[in-house]
Amino acid sequence: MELNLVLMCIPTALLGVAVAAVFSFIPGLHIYNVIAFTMMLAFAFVEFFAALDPLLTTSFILGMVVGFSVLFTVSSQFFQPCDDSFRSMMMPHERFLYEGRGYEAVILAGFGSLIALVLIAGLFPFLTKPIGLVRELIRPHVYWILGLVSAFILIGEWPKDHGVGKTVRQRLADGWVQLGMGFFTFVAAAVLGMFVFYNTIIPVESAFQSLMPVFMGLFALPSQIMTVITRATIPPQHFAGSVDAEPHDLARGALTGTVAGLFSSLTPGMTPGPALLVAGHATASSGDKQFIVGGGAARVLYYIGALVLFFMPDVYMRRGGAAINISLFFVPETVEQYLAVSGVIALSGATALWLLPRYARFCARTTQRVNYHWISAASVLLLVAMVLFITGWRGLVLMAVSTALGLVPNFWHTRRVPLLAVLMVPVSLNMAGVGHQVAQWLGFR
Amino acid sequence: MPGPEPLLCPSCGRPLPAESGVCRFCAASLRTRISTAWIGRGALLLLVIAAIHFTAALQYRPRLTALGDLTAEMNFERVRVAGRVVNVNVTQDRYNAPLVRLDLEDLATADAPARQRLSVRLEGEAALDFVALKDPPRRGDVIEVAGSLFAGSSYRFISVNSASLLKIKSRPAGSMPEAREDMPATIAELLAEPGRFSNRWIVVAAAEVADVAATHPIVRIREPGQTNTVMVFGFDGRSLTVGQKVAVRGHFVYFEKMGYWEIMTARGNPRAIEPVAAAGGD
Repeated sequence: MELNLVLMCIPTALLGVAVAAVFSFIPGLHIYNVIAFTMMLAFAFVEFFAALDPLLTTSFILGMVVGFSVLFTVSSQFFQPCDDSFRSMMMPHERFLYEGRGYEAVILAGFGSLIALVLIAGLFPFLTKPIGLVRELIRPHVYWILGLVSAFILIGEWPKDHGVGKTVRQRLADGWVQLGMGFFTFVAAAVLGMFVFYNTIIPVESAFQSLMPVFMGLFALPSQIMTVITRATIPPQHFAGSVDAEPHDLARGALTGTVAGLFSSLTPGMTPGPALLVAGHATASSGDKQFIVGGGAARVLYYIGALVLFFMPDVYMRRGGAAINISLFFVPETVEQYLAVSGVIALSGATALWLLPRYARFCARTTQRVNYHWISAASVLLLVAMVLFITGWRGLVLMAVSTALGLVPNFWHTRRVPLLAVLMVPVSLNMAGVGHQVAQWLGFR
Repeated sequence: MPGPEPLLCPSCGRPLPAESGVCRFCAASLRTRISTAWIGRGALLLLVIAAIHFTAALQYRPRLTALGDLTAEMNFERVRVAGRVVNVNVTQDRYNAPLVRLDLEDLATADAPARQRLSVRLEGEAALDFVALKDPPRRGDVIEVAGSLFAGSSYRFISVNSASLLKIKSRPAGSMPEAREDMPATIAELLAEPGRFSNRWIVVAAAEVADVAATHPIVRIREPGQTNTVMVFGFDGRSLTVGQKVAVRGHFVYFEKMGYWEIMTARGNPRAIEPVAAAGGD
């Protein structure tokens, strides 16, 4: 590989991290949406992008993905508080925020991200054959693996606010309404997923982003809407010079995150949420600290690990939105490309981790100066505008339907993880070879 | 006399009684903690890993597969080969987009004379990149190619998705431009002794247009006054008329798939088929 090309990869990757840092400030925004936007720019200025070596555009996108996967937790840590009605459903990072330890939670997640990045950049190059072998082993079994995880999600649903009713009947109803809404969310998300996979209304020119309005609606918008209407006050945050953890916590959390990240990156249709749920049980991890470290590791391994499989000799697996977008203009062929990509990932990861504490301090201070309601309101407007711009009014309709469904867990205090049936069920049915029949039965074909 | 420094929880920053082991507000331990400086140290480690990868990318020497070892069992595999270019064809598809085909042969060694051949194909963006190259691989060059192998019982070629994956490793001293290699031929000679002109760049000075395809870059030529024709591929002949006298330059090859000989013209060469003045004309 030419020295010039390698040297050019460095500034482009750093530029990608910088862009990710800017966009990570917007809670709810997903880096794949930014990549989609980049692709639209690439289509508009095709001559400029065609003149670039594809590896440079790839480095830029890799820089964005790495930067985002490390930094985007910061804005969701500080700008998305939940109010008292969610006490029973509060996530560990939300608890840290209310204790003035948001910065510490970011650093804990950063430790998870660091371990995952060292694994990807340092160990993956020596594991290409075993990873290829695991992929081949998993491939014929994806449908039932996803089916089992779906079953695990369903049987893992439990009544969280039971016991508040005055009579036995009311308490029974309270419990079952929550359970029922969890099951309803799962089924409705699955039907929505089948519709999107088989009969979407997204215009063909935006087909490369057909899932974007659905994901925006199911996950990004509801969280931002809830943040806009919440009445919680964010306490001042303390910038800790050390974190309350032992090496054991980091190791156990990283193990959980690694299992979850590898599972989700090698299994089509799987995402870090359910994977972390399963891996947490499998590795018997416990406590908030291990959960946060595991989340940091799982996200990095899912976003970057899945993407790196696309470049990995013996694997070349196109998995995830970033890989799909990169494959529109670049097909990896050589070991040198993989080595350069690994270098770009390590460099971008180092930069993102260097930025992390500074970025967290900046966001923590922002919560004391700017009303987080305004940040979330601006985020809602931006997300809607983005969906309208990329997928048109049809995308907006799809997003509205998805948002309504995405708000169900917020209003009935159920978990969000059943919403991932939108991906898991269609992929599982397709892999089982019955997707078409089910779509036909649902009237989508 | 000032009192002792107030103890603050290192996690939440609230004041605590002296000698507290655990924060009474956030339950964080004050004793077993890990410094945040380890994040910075980890970032440094990643920088070292990045430097190692970049150096390895620059220094990497690929393992090459011999052309003879590329069999149908390796179908769809990514392969890396080296060979000498024996032929370069740039033609057009029906949409006037370039198609590039390079024929490679094994590098001859003392105990194994060159004999295995394989074609390397570039289409779409890769072909456009190739056409735009300032110094593309030429006949006689030794090149290294990375691409995907497509191999079955009756076909075998490497598809390359970027012109940057063709690396010229050496070029014979004083290699001639291809135009100098044109070999004079007549249609009758081509039909009678095709093997003599096989894989040679030829020029047919006197021919007559027998047929022009409306949708494909195909022109049939014949000896004036004769009926047997030779196909010329890769030239948009819509400006030609049947019976017109022309001179043709191209690469005479055997089209294995269909089982006939043809003249493949170089893409974008406006002189590939040139009208010539009829005898006695002005």
